[in-house]
Amino acid sequence: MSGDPERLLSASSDADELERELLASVRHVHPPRGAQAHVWSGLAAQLAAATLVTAAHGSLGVATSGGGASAAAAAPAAGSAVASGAAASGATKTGFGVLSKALVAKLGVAVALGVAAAGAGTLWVATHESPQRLVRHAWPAPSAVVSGLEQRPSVTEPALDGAPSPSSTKRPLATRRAAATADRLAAESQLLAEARAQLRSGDVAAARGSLKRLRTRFPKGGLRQEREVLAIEVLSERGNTRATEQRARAFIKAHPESPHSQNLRRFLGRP
Amino acid sequence: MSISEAQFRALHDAHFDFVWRCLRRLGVREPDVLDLTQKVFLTAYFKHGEFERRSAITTWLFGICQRVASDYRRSAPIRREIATDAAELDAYAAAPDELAAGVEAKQRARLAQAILEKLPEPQRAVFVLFELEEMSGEEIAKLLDISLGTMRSRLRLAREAFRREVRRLSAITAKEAV
Repeated sequence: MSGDPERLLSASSDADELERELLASVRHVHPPRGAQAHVWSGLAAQLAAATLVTAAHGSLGVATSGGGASAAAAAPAAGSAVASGAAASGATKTGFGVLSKALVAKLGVAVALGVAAAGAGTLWVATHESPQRLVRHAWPAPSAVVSGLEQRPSVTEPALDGAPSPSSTKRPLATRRAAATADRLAAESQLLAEARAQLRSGDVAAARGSLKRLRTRFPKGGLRQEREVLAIEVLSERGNTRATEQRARAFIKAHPESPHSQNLRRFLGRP
Repeated sequence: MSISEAQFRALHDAHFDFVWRCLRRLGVREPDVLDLTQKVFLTAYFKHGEFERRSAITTWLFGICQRVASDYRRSAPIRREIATDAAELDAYAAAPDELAAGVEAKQRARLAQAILEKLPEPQRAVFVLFELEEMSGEEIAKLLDISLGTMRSRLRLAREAFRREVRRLSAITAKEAV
């Protein structure tokens, strides 16, 4: 402490009233309710999704070197169906944060290299190249943390491939579904990131286009809330105050506990 | 050195508020704070091996926050949103009534935030850590890897800038009130 000046907010400082008032107003800023669970679920889902995406693309060939011994020794059948099912629903429900393609790739590689393999593995993912080899994954995307988000009954996305390829028939159905879901989530996430970047760079028309594509391609996507929030921002950016307010109000009513609702309140009518 | 899920979860839970606050105070707009908070923790996850236990974990996390916030601010689209004169007037436009009427804390916070965002980055970091996070001069110097003298001089400059902005705000308020 020695030699430090008085803090402006301390009683004996020479700050005037307005300075104190303003400083005090930002002294205790807090994240909105539910934000912590929201971010955590996003982290868990992204790490899980990154692993699944990587697995689906067959780039996990070397991954078993880390936790491989125990992974290979484990009996996969029942466990993999249950665990990857859980991961899939986690991913659809919790995909909050939007990562760039590069970051997803980076995550995938890092996880593949066994960075995450130290924890208690609960998810077993087969790779394309060697379906019988299994990769241990430490991120179960715990459903317990999925609290801040829209909780619709989890939609089991149908497998995209009606006629499975010979290699994929060897993988459990649930694993294939999880990988497909993660793929879809990654694609949706990427398109959403593009739309957001376009809006931030002032290209409102392009952002609208991307949002339209998102609606068409992922009508029931896991990132619908984020899409709607962005759509509201686009409306606001275009000066459409009335529609902005209307949709912000509708969103807040539908998702009062969502951290997005906190942010959207700024669009509600100001005197 | 890797970090287990349980350890990472504990780290996240213990420091979530701190990271969120730091980002906000380092000039990240509210709608973007959650995204960037996530980014900070992802970085922390992957770089955990680089964390040298000589410093406090908050020191290390703050360093990541600074880099993330600085990347964010450097991106062109954001610059557009930071305190151009028009935006500034916009932020101040609501001030007279609000201040006169006893004022919603939220509006005050917005004004304060707008002023903080006007401070040059190195000064803002020192100002925020000293005045709001109530860290000691020595802690801040260590955290930012600067000398105590530099820390104090940045704090002095930041205070001067802060005062100047508050006075400008008062002047605008007074003029509008006439």
